[in-house]
Order: sequence, then structure tokens, then C-alpha cells
Amino acid sequence: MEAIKAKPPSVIICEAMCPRLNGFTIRERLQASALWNAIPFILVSHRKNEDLIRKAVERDIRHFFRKPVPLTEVAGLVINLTKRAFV
Amino acid sequence: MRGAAGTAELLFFAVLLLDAALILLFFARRLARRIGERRRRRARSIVFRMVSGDSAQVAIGRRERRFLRRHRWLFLRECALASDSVSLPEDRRTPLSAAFEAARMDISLLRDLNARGRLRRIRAASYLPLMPTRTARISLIHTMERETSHSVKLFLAAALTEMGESLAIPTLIDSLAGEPLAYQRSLWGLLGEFGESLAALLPILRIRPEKEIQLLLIHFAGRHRSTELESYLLSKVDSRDLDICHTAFRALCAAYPGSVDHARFLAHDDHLIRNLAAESLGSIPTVHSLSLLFNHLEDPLMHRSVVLAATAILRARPQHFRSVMLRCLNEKREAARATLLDVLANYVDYLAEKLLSADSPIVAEILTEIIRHGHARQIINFLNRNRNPDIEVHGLRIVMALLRKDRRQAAEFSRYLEPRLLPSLGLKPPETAPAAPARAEHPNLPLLVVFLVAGVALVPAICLIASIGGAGLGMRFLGFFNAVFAVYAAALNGSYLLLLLFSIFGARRQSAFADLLRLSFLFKEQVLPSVTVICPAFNEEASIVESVSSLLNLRYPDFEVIVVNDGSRDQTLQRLIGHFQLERAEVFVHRYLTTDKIRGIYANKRYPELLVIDKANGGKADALNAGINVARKEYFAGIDSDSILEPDALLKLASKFLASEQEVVAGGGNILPVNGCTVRRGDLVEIRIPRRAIPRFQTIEYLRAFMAGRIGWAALRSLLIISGAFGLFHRRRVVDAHGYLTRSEHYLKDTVGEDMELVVRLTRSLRENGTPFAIQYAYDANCWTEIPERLKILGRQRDRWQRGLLDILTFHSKLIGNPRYGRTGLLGFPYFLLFEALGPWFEAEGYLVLIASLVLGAIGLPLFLLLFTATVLLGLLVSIASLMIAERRRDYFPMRDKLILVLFALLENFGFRQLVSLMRVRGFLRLLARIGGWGQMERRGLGAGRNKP
Repeated sequence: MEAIKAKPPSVIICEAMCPRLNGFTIRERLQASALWNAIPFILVSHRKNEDLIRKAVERDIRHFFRKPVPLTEVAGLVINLTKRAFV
Repeated sequence: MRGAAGTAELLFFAVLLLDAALILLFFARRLARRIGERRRRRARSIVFRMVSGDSAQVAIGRRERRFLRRHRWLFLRECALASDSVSLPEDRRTPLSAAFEAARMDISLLRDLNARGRLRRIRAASYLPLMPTRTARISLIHTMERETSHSVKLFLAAALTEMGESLAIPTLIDSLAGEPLAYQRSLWGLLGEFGESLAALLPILRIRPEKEIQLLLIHFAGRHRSTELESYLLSKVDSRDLDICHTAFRALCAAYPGSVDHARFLAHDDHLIRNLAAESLGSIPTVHSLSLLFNHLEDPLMHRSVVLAATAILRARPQHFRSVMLRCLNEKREAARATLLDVLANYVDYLAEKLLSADSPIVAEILTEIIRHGHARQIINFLNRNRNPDIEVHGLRIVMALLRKDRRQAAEFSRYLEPRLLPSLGLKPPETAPAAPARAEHPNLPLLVVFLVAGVALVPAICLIASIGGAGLGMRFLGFFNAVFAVYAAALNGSYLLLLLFSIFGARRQSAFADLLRLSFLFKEQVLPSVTVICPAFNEEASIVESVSSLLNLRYPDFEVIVVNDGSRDQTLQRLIGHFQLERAEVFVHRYLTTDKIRGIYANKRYPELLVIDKANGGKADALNAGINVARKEYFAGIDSDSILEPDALLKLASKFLASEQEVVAGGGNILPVNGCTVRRGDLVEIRIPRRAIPRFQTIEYLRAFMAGRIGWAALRSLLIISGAFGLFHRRRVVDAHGYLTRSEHYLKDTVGEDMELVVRLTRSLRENGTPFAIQYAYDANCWTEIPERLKILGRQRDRWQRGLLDILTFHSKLIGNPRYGRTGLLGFPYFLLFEALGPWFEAEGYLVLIASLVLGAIGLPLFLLLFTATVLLGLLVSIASLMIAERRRDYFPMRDKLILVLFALLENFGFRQLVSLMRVRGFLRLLARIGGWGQMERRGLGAGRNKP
């Protein structure tokens, strides 16, 4: 969290199942501020089901990949998202 | 005497040598681990370079190639790990495949598919998807056809699924026949991944008569919706096999609710189908649904599902309240009226608000009826909470009018209504608090006396008989006694060593298997069983929110958390409701097990995995039983709300089940003391050993009991103890065995050792039915729990353990030495009787006699010292080995702490061990004293009854 606040990245890729602070909670905290909320947020996890997808949609998460993540797809998405950010 | 001294000397040196070797190994392993870590890092960096796609980097040197060849298994593992989180495009994988071929990995894996050891076959199956050649695919299918072990078959199936080999589908489907349900369930998940390819086979598969294939298709239809699958389900609902019929109807209601002909199924012959139909109407909130439900108000078997569905519909469509109320008042049939009142009683709050509207007379009448029908508590709860004075006046007037006619309800009101409201009803608060129900342990006195006599008199009697005749009776008696004591000590230590050997073997197997598991496999749907975590809480307001948040963060594919508030007298429930913004929810509660009354169930849609049950106080076992009634998953995990589960503990425990050839009915985790650790937000931040001496001694004790004990018992397939702090059980099997032992359930008996008792009873009933089963223990699935810091508390805990153990041994005395119960009867139970129940007596007597012999000179001091040191060294051996087994995969404690632990393993022989033995003897005596009616009764309270393991 501190790292994000200090220097906002162009894209955040985050695992959903972290100990202490899970991906959804991190997203909720970021949503509190307009600046951080604008950073595209991509969630990755081995665990992906209807409930979690619904949770992700509610929190305005850009994309939710199931692991193993398809490399080409993630790389492409990140490139597209960052391009948009710079234009 | 000379011979004895010689043997003792030999023993002493043998043990000393072993100890020295172990200590060397202890340090050598640190070094080996550091080297291994460096190698792993190197392998990883090479793998990353090979797949990075940057052609300048792809070219790897000769030295690296040689490294890969030499450490090929390491290389494979790193590749598997990488492919577990990122799936690479075809062109990036080519350099890897080339390297595998160069190292001839593919050939050795293909050969391993036919290896004798199961683990090697599993290893081959789990690595082959990294080289998805045609040969590999074909060999996997062929192996699948002739393989007999389920665990290997499961991994073969996983490999074929991962390769997306749709040609394998028929083989995979044929493998289902005659296999245990756990295997079938895992394959449902794997086959589901094939999606369209499987659906395309439906025309051929739908005519297959095998039950296994029907179940597969039903589950597939529940997840992949299509008209063909829907028609398949509809055809299966009329199946004559009840199991098929119920499963199909459940899937139909869940996936295609619109196409269910409710009117027909509400009148079905089978009452489960009727109930399911009624329940599914709850999700279609229309007037039509309500009128359909109201046609079945009188069916006693459908009562609860009709109430539930109607309640849900009213929640979604409050405009129908008025018509329901009118219908209720005009209803002449008593049963139908009662059902409607049960529905309306769920909305007392809503109705009471309406007291101020134009509908006031109707509402007042309804509320009166609700109280008359035994729902006074709902009104009382509302009045206690209500802050609107106008509604209060109306409400009290209704109650007053009712009480004037019928005084029977007065006691209920005066007991539970807040004192401020009582004067206006002309009532007084009750003078005495309601008495807590007494525990009903019903100890078996005659058998306990037999145990007592055996414990106290057996050894002295043998020695006395042996020493009668001849001169110097006293000296001969002492000599014999010492000999018997030595034999006992040798047997005890021998069994420790034997168990230790089995433990080392068991832990090796477990960790070799764990190396082959990948998250992408474990997290596939239905591969692992679904789990309900049941967390009973009694007066835990300080920590409950943190514990529950950390439970919701568990890494597990399919789980729910049920918190059971066991009548806490503090703010436990309010804290949960406040933090998770819970609301009352209508949940269908099965009555598999009889428990104390459930007062309410709370949930929040934003946390779909969480349910909170509020119930009257009835003890931990009763709370767990209530949780089991509400649980919906295949397994349930009973845990302590004040313990900390590591985030992947459940995953580690449940994934061990996949290695089993039998159905796993229960599994236990590892318990470690949290006393010295730093905890933040329900998560361990730093692991240290406890600061005080008493818990340090216990740390060593726990490590020994788990690492040198339970792994061994599990490897011997006769594990009988699973700690209440963390255990996983097959829900259906536990329900069939009548759940945890409580005074309100089948056996009408309480026990303080409910965790061990359940495992014993499960074992017993499954053995009696002849069902093959397994009970497992995962040495690395950790639960960190608070252990007693003070001697007094420790004494109370050991007192309880001893009481629980004796209770179980007497209650299930039929098992002792009974070959009908296999190893449990011949090995586990006798061990507990001899070493755990009677052992403390032998030990206490042994120490006394030893001192007497020394004083009287029956044995020489040097011999005594030699034997004593040998015993101490043997204990040390077991302790260090246990620590090493525990830290096989990762270091828990810093080096300094480990050395302190070893020191304490030495020190415990001078006082602590003897003290614990005495505490157990005292527990035995106290139990007898309590039955006899003398000795003080223990204050009843959960706090005393809830310390583990």
C-alpha cells in the first residue's frame, strides 16, 4: 500500500488470496481516493468462481484472470492499458 | 546383577551414539538446505531465461546445460511451478522441450508410468504435461485404462485434462465405474473442464445405464446449461433410483428454475422432492408462487420448507403482507394457520411498525396469535430493541390483553423482557437466574474402579507373588519391582522409537506427495472436497472479528465459514453483526442432530461465505453439532475461535486426502503454541518459542506428541486423536455416527474429550459396518493455539484430558483388545489403556520404589545413574528428531530458540515430566471423588472446558 501511495504505478496486478490483506480489500482501500481508483486494477488467482467474480465486478476491477495466467493475454492487456494512460 | 549392568552400559552407549549422530545431522541439514536453496534459485533463473523469449538470452551455456542434466528433477519442479502461475504460448515452450529431450526426461517419465511405487507413477503423471508429445498422450491414456489405484488415476486424469486431450474423455468416463465418491467428484470437476467436447458426447452417454455416468452427467448439466442437458435432467427426475432422482432435481432447481413444473413436484410422492420444490419457489417471488405454496400449508413434512420459501417471497415482495395476514385470520384449519403464523413470526419487527398504520387492528390480532403460537420470544426481542415510544405503548397493550386471559406466558415475559418494561405489564423480574443445565457425563464407575485397582495394585501384586517364599522378602520385592518397572520403561521407550520410525517414514511420504501438487490442479472445481469451517465462539468479543476475518482469508477453493455464538454473555454476536453488517437470514436448518435451540441465523450478501448462528449456551460439542446441521459442504472443519489457522492449513490438510486409497473420514492438523509469537490482524508475523518455562516444556511435549506420535499413528492407520483445535471431518459420516457426544444427542451423554471421542466413535461405527476408511494427519497443516502459562491452569487441563481419556476408554471398553476392530482394537486402544490411563500410576509407584531401593541399597547408585541417563538421552533423541521432522520443509523457530528447546528437552526430565504424571494421577482420583459425591463440584463454564488439544 505504501509503495502504491508513494509512486502510483500505471497498472496494478494483484493476487486475490494474500494473507492479511487480500486483493479485494486492497482494491477497496484504493477506491477511497480518486487518484488511486483510476489506476487499472487486474486481479489474478487460482481461485475464481461466480461469487468472487461478482465481488470483483462490484469493486470495479478491470480484469480477473484465473491462474495460470495466459502470458500473451496479460501482456497485451497491460500494454493496452498503459498506452491509454499515456495518451 | 553383573549382566544387568553390562546390558545397561551397552544401552547407554548405543543411545549416546545415536544422540551424537542426530545432533550432527541436525547441523548438517542446515548446510544441506542452504545448498539446496542456492541450486533451486539457479535452476529457476535458468528456466526464466529460457522462456523469456529474448533470443540473446535463450542460448544457455554448456555449464548450465550440465547443471540441468545433473539436477533434472529440480529443473522439472521449477518448470512445473512456473507453468502453475503463467501459461506460455507455444513458441516460448520450445526451448524447454528441447532441454527435456536433451536430458532424456521424457523417456524416464514414460518409464515411471509403470513403476512399482505409487508416488513415482503420480510423479510421472504430474510432470508429463510439461512435454505434451503424442507419445506422452497415448501412454497416459493407456496407463489410465489399466491403472488400479484411485490416487494415481486421479493424477493421470489431471494430466490428460491439462493437456486438453479430448480423445481421453471416454477412457476417463469409463474409469468412474465402481470407484469411491471422492474420486468421482474430483473427476466431475476435471471432466467439466472439457466443456463442449463432453457435451458433444451426450447422445451416446445419455443411454448408458451406469449410475456413475448418470451422476456425472447430472453434475455436468448443473454447470453447463443447454437445452439438451436440461431435457436430460428432466428425464432423470423420474428415475427409480432415489439418489439419482434427488440429485437431478436439485440440479434442475438450481440451474433451470424456470422450467420446473412446481405444481407437479409439490404433489410428488417423495417428500424430499416436495421440500426441494417448495424451497426453490422461494427464489421466484410471484403471487403465483405464494398461491402454489399455500396449497400445501397442512403437509407436516413440508412445513419448514414452505415457511422458508414464503418468508423469502414476502421479503422480496412486501406488498403481499396484507393478503397473507387476512388469509391467516380467515384460515379455519389449525395446521395451515400455524404455518402461516410461523411465516409472519419472522417479520415481527415489520408488523410492529404497522401498528401505527390504518391496518392496526389486523396487525394487533396477528401479533396476539403469534405470541399464542409460541413465538413470544420474537416479540420480547423486538420490544427490548424498540426505541419508538408509540409502538411500545401499542405493543405492551397487546401483551397485556393477552396475559390477562392467559397467564401461562407470564414467566417467559418476566424472564426475558427488559426490566424497564416489566412494571407496565404488572410483572416482576424473576428472583433467581435460570439454573444452567448440569453436565451429564454418566461415568462408568465399576469399570473405573477396575482401572484403578489395575493401575494401583497390578504391578505390586505380581511382584509380591513372585517374591513370596525364601528369605529377604522386602529386598526381593524391591528387586522384582525394579525389574518390572525397567521392562515397562523399555516398552514405553521402545514404542516411542518405533512410532518415531513410522513418523519419519510418514513425513517423508507426505512431503514427497506435497511436492507434486500444484495449485492450478487443487483449485480446479471439485477436485478438493468443499469444506464448512465451524467456529464455535463463547465470550470472544475481543478477538472474534479478527479471527473470522482471517478465516475468510483462507486459501481454499470451496469453503464457507459458520460462526456459532454459543450463548455468549458478552458482545460477541453484536461485534460480528456490526463489523460484517449482518442481517437475519432465513436458512433451512436440517435437524440431523438434536441440539439446543438456535435463536437466529445472520448473513450478509457481500460476504457470501459467512454465516453466523446464534444459539442458547450448550457447550462446545453442542455448538459444533448445531453448525453441522447448518453446514452444506461435504466436509466440515471444527476449530477453536481463539486459535490461528495458517492461511494454507486447510489446503494442506485436505490435499493429503487425495493420496488416500480409501475414503478419508477425518483428518487432523498440527497444533503449535502461539504463546511467544507476534500476531497481527489474525495472522502470524513472527514465530518465537514461549517466554516462560512452563509453556516451553509443553512446546517440546507437543512437538513430540505430534511429530513422533500422530504421524506414526496415522502411518500405522490407527490414529485415534484429532485435536479439537483443528480437525476435518466427513459431514455425512459424522451425522450417521450421531455427531459430537452431547446430552441432547443419541447417547444422552456429555464428555470433556469430545474431539477424541468422535474419532473413536467414527472408527467404531465404520468398522462395525465394514466400510473401508482412512483417518489422516497432516504434519504441516498448522494451527497455532494458546497453551497454559501457569501450573494451576495446566493442572486443570491435564485433569480434563485424563478425565476425557478415561471416559472414552470406559464408554468404548468393548474395543479394548477386540480383534473385530482391527488395529484400533489391538493396537491403539491397548496402548492408550496401558501407557496413558494406567501408565501414570506405574510411573508414580516406580519412582517411589526406586527411591526406596536406593535408600535401602537394593540397587547401586552407578547402575541407577546409568539407566537414568540412558532414559534421558533416549527422550532427547525423540525430542530432537521430532523438531527435525516438524521443520522438514521450513524453519519455524530461529536457531537460538531451537537450542533453547533442546535444552528444555533435557531439563524436562528433572521435575516436569514427573509433575505431569502426578497431575494425571490426580485427575483420575478427582474423577472418582466427584462420582462418590465428595470433593467439590467444578464450576460449570465453557472457559474451563475449552482448552485443547
